[in-house]
Amino acid sequence: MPPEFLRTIEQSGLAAWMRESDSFLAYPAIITLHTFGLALLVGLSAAICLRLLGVAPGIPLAPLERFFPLIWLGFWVNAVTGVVLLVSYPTKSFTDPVFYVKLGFIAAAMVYMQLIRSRVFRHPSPAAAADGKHLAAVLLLMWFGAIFAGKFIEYTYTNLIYPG
Amino acid sequence: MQPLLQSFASWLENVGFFAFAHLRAVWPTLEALHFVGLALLLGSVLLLDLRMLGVAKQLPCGPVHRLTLRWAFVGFSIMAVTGFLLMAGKATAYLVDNVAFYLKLLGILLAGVNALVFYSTAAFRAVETLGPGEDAPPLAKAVAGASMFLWLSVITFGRYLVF
Repeated sequence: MPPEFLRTIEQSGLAAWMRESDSFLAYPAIITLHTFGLALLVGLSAAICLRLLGVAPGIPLAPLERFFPLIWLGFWVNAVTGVVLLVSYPTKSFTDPVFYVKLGFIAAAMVYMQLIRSRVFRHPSPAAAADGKHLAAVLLLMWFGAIFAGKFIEYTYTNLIYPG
Repeated sequence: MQPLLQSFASWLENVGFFAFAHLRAVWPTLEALHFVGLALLLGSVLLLDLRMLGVAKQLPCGPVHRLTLRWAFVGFSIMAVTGFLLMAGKATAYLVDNVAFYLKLLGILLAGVNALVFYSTAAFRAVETLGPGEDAPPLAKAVAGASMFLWLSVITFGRYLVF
């Protein structure tokens, strides 16, 4: 049996409302916001990665740092909406190993993002530029992994809600 | 209209080739690739739109536009191919009685018209030559704002069309 606290979360008011409400503001709205967050977080950081990998070398690096606050905005939107989605179906995700793989990819991606910001943007040098290519390639792979893991949760979970 | 759509949807679903989408790992892979395309498309579009609206104003617009044009095309192509295959595999659910699906298509069409407005007016030439620190003309800003609004609408309808 899955741990009891999953049932407790699942029976909370917020969880029940998210699952059962026909309101346009319930599940579909939260998953829409989660996708807006993805566009900001993964989209903008992927665009910066492409530049670091040598696409459009005419774009100067320094001004791109302005996009990092928006990337972090995307991260926080997805952290909050992600928690709400998790509260709605706690058993589904917490009992699926693929969910932890997704979290691992996201954690690694955020570490690489900050490495890019500190090494390539804050302390630019020729060595940092070479480093930037490597970091950008790894970051793109991390996002690829996070998106795939996220999608596969829909097909790998064993219990959508607490059994019994 | 409805019987016509239903027969078209049934025909699509019965094209043997599209049944491959239902194989075990193929469906989630197509969905995941659809979101990889979304990240590429939205990321590159947001980069240019936000610059035109005044974020990261020190960026020259010409090179940003070249990155956006190429990678928005790559992202859109991935989304179009995976999106078509996903639709063909469950054609009835998408095509019959699914208002959100048609609104999504309308949103994509309008985003295309918006891009056409950008390229066929003085806004494009002004943006191509816009240097660091320079302000985009009002028409370019309007196009950028409309682009962001339309693509976010497309995402929204995409999320509400699920059945």
